[in-house]
Amino acid sequence: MKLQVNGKVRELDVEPDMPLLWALRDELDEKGTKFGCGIAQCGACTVLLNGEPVRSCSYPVSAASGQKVVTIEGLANKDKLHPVQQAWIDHQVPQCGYCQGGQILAAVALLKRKPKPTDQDIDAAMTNICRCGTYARVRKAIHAVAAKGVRV
Amino acid sequence: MSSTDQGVRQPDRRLFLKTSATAAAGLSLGFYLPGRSDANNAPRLNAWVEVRPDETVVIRYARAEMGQGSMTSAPMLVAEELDADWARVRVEYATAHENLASKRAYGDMAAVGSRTIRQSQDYLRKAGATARHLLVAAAAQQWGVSAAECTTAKGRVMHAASKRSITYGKLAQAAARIEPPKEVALKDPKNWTLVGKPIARVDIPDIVTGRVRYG
Repeated sequence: MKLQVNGKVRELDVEPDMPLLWALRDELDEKGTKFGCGIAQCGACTVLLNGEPVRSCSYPVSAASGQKVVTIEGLANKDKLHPVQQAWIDHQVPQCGYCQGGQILAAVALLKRKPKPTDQDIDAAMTNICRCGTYARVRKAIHAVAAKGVRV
Repeated sequence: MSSTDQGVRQPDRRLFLKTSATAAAGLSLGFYLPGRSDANNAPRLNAWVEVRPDETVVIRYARAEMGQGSMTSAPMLVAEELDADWARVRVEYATAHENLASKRAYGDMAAVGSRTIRQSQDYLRKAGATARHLLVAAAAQQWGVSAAECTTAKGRVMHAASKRSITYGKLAQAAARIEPPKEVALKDPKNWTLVGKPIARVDIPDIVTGRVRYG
């Protein structure tokens, strides 16, 4: 089957019910997307599917075939970081960093849908779990991107 | 524990070690010193600092980075005493292989109990100060002046009386041939310019682009 990842069409010879995360990490060697809970609860495995966040650990690869998959590796425009990635650096958001790829992609999707989110909007949309507890800085960085008014 | 882009950086380092072994590259204070035969005498050696001809200062980090930030703060201690230009510092992990090859120059390489800074600050500062000493000695030799008259800042050695200044990268090769001192003076903390300041973590750019590896 064919899978479009970060703008490149990749050929895969896998079972259709293989989780998208497995296909990305083990078949395509894209290791930026992380395995967390494996049951779509924590969000470490978040990728964007046609711009919408999905939890790739519980998403069959066949359902993603023919659609646009963006992982954390593909968010920057070559060397130019995405504004959300830049805000994550500016506000020193990550601690260990394991969940942050998912956090960033979820934030991108939120800001696309709602360019000026309130704290409540952020809390409702950002259901990704961070064991280090970086939530306060996640919120701050999202507000910072919104305040700049850049299109994400 | 995380590590960054091993696949990309290791060949670079191997190439560097190969070239430094033929005395063609920069200052590698450690067990790969060009022309040195006392590689087994690990306690006297400094495995932490490399000054490359392009002015990049590579500082090794020999503990785990798990979000506590010591991959940034421990190299800051080296850079402080070295008077390196922090913007040109690149932090790289020391490997277990290097540790064994150097009779454990990097110690137990453990990050535990908030001990990284407390346990390693003395030898990290000495590593930076020793490297600085060699670079100053190399400049003084080149200029025919006393090392005591030279000062350092931001990756340069300066000699105020003759208004001369030279970068670390240009001195590295000569500095690597000088015998390191057994004792070296450390800065008075009141003169610190880097340590104690809020500095952005060196590993965050790799986190936000998905390049950091965990394992």
